[in-house]
Amino acid sequence: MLGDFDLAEEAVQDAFVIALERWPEHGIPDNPGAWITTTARNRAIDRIRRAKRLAEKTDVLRRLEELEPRAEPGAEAGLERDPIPDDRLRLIFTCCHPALASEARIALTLRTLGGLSTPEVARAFLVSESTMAQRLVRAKRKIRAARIRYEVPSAERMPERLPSVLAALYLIFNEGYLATSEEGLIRGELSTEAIRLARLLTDLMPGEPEVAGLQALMLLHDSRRDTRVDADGSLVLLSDQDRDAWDGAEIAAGLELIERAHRLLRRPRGIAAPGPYLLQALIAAEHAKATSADDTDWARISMLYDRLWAVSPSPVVALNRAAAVAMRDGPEVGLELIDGIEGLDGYEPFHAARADLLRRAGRHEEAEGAYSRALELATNPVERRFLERRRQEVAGR
Amino acid sequence: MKYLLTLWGDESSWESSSPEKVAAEMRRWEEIDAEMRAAGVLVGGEGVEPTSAATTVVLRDDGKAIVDGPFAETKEQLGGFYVLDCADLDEAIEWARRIPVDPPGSIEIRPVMDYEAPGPEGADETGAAGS
Repeated sequence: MLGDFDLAEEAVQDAFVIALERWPEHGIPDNPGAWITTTARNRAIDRIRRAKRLAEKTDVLRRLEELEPRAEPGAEAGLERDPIPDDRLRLIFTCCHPALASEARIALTLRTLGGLSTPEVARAFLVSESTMAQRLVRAKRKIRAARIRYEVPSAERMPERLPSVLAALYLIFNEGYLATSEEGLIRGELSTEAIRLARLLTDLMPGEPEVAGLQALMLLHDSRRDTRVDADGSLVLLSDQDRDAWDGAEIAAGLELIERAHRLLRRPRGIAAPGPYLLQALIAAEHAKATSADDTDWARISMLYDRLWAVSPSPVVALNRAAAVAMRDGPEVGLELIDGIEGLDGYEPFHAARADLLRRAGRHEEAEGAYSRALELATNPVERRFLERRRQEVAGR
Repeated sequence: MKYLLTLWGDESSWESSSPEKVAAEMRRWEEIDAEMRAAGVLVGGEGVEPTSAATTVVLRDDGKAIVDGPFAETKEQLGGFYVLDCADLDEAIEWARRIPVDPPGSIEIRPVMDYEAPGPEGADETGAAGS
């Protein structure tokens, strides 16, 4: 009946122990022999199940541990040593499982796949090392305690699981992108790390247009990295950036990825619509392709924002759309749109954008108020200097 | 591993249902029940009476009190529960998707403590940094 003799013996022992415990209280069953056999079989099944679960339970955690890089400088991320692409994909999706808190997903992704040590991840997100260590421990504990499955989601589930992976990578990229040289190189390296992870994902999921779109978006943003801040550490607006200093190779790679994404969209299912990351990449591409700020095709950018709004209707998208429309139709039109957006009162870029439009529309007193509000919310020192300068400009009028 | 699924919804909408609606509802619940049994995952499950039938024993340092009503006023109220034996969380989530709770509602999934599980695993419990 049960193949494993040891197991059978153990199971029967268990059954006797239970019998000794139970029978005095519940009375002897009518057919004690049959009872022992049934109980023994059930206990054996329990043991087998538990052993199997233990093996599975430790499997994902073991993988997570294995792939964490050693602390020595120059140690390769465990990932490069891993010959099985499938495993890395399983890892990415497990790290970004919806049952984990958003910050946990990012921490886990960076630690396990991103080649960063715990102190490095902590510095990147401006928390203490012990806070980050705790965050990682809690995340792993949740994976174990709730038993999160270690797998690549099925095709059916992929549309709802992929976005959180993309979002985690994009958050990592943005953390690094918004860093200034003052805050240390580690944050600049975050963008590089995010791009590397996005490239890994593109390699592992070559048929997904949004994955290509995300990588394109990151490359196009990153191409402007060196021109965003001038020698004095002041913010340089897109319109004032030295386009010759934009990284041509990254732009070319980004545009090529956009082409690839479009080809994928035309595949078997007919013509599918671009998703939010591809649309954002298309917008970034418009800037990359314009030889000067004046050549920027704001009409096309506004149209792209219309489409982005259709698939991803958030207040932040509405804000960016308003800014683009203002470039096409003038600041007053943009202001009408902005004033209709709700929920962004605590969002610094909202007030900065509004202030900018008010300034361009000649409404200097209102602009001053808006810059003040933006300054209340701004934390980045480079942005603060910029906003302060603008406020003084309009206060003078 | 066992999971407790607690079902939360707007009980005022349940209470105002017509007999036809109630009958249709019951069928959906019977169907999911049958599916769970057939899959061998159902350990237990019940619907519970609304919060108007609830009584709470409040335990504080300075004594116990018996109070009319649920332990807290919540936007969605507890309407029932299942205990399912699933391989992992993702399987429990798949079942939760099919349980016919009408929106707005929530289904919380909580792993049941397994006292027979093997002991603590791994040095990561110490949260050692730089590892």
